Amino acid sequence: MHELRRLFPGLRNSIFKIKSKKDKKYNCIAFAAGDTNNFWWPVGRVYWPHGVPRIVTLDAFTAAFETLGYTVCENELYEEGVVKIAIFVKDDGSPTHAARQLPNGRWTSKCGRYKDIEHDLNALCGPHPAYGKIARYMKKPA
Amino acid sequence: MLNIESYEIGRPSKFPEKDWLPSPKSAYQKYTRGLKRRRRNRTDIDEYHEHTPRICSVETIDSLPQKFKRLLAEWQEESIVMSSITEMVMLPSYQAIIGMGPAAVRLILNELKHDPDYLFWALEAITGANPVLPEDEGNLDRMTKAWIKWGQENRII
Repeated sequence: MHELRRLFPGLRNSIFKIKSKKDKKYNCIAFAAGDTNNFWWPVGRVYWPHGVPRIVTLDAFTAAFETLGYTVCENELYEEGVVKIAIFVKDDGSPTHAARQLPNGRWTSKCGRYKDIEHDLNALCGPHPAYGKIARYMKKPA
Repeated sequence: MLNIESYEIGRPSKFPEKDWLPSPKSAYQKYTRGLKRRRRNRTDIDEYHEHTPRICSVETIDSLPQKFKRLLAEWQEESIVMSSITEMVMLPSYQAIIGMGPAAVRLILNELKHDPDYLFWALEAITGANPVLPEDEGNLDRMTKAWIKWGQENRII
């Protein structure tokens, strides 16, 4: 917890909970996609949905989540019966992270190969090693 | 065996004795002249070499397993909240593991046995091999098993 507060200053002034042990099997993209068995990334010998461009761009990540039924939406506001995800990017526009909304309206993330946490959406924003800014929201029926 | 007497006799006449075998005095003068010239042309680099030990102390030189453990710990700490595999493998500590070359392969494979992590990029970079099936890419357990099997088949572990 102390380590996460150091890496993500936004967590210092907000409530967050650690929800799992450290697990290297999956990363944030996989976790947002609901897959805790694979490491998702477009580049390198790791999992990426078949047919989606293997480039680190917001559009490629959007296409990856579209394979799961997500569509682009306007905002992060909670909607009954809907699951939302948020895609984070660096200043150069390349994706760094994804978070998924919980039924209680808060957000959950896997921090790299570390732990799952429940957090305020903007608490992971900020310069490196934080995840930059949120560039896209997507949703699908729960 | 060299016959000193015949060597002395057979010395080419074009080398008079005073040039062929300089007197101790002239050799000393030549040496001191060189020293003076070097002192006149001293640079910061000379100063650096003069004050820098020629040999690293033994304590600062890691053995290969120690070096690997140190680099691995550095990499795991630096990359722990990263999701980008490309950013992870471009960290200097990961590149230094690759830079250890074939000597690192056994160390990596033994590490995978005990604590699997994404060291496959390094293994592939060093060995040129890729024993992981396309459908297993991204699955840490299956990728680890494939590389350990490869290491056993190639009698590395």
